[in-house]
Amino acid sequence: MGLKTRKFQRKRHEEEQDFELNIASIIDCFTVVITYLLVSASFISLGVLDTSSADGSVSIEQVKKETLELTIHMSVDRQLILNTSGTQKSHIAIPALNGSWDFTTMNNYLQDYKNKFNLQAANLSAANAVEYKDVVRGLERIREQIANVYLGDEESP
Amino acid sequence: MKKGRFTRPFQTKEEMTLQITPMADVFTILLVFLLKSFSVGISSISPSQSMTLPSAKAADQMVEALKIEISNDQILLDNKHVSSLENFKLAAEDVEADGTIRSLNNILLAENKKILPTTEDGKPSGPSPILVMADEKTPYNTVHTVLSTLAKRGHPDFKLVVVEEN
Repeated sequence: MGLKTRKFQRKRHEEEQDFELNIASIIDCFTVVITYLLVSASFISLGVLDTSSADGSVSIEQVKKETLELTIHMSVDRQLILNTSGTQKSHIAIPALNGSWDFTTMNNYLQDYKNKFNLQAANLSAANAVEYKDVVRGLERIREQIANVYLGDEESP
Repeated sequence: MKKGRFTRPFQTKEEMTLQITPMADVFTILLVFLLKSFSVGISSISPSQSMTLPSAKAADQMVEALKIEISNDQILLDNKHVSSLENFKLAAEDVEADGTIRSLNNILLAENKKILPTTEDGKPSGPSPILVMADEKTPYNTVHTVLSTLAKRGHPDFKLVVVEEN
């Protein structure tokens, strides 16, 4: 009885096939694929800011619909000049704060205009020498208060 | 015989074996991560090495659109050379009387049939936004001239590409 059991177990053992998984080739494939993905990967995340040109007919019409036409100009000396026309005419110059743009004061004015006149659009312009990064920063800050911002001519209003 | 002090320590032969299994684990995780972050299409919108994009808190979604790049030495429209710049400044002879860029005008006139989206009838369906990738040091004069040229040729809407701030 015992001998038959052992024979049966040996046969079962022989039927079990030992196999070896060769990982080396998998590693080769992984190395190539990972190298390619690392080279092609972009580790910075890009976003977009929507805007339009003030030269476009749609933007001109949009600004004209507003009861208050607002133009914000960024000058070389980091002054922010707010010019309004239409329902209320005004000219406000916000000087630089510690050598930098004073967007906080600008936003206070914008919030005031928005509350009084339900302002939805504004023009943004800058002096020729103002760098693009400052214009983008200004655009970003203005959009906190006003949804539509159009990039206008560089001439000071 | 005393054991201890003067007996030669038993020397074992150490064989170095490369453990491939944990390496496979690491590679698998790395591969899954990179595949997840890899995307076809929008990944082609990446700035060139010489260009530094401005950073901002972007509020809008990136889309597939025509791309215009402004670097310190050239303007590219969809990776094709349009105009040469010298330290971000346009050549005087390339600027028309109306303030638009001649070379960009010519390319847009030639390419507008392909660029502007059309309805089934072949009529323009509306303005298509353009992705603007400009170096952060580009003077506003140059940026505005480019945008103005595009606006006058039927592309008044833009998406300014920025590096997202956390």
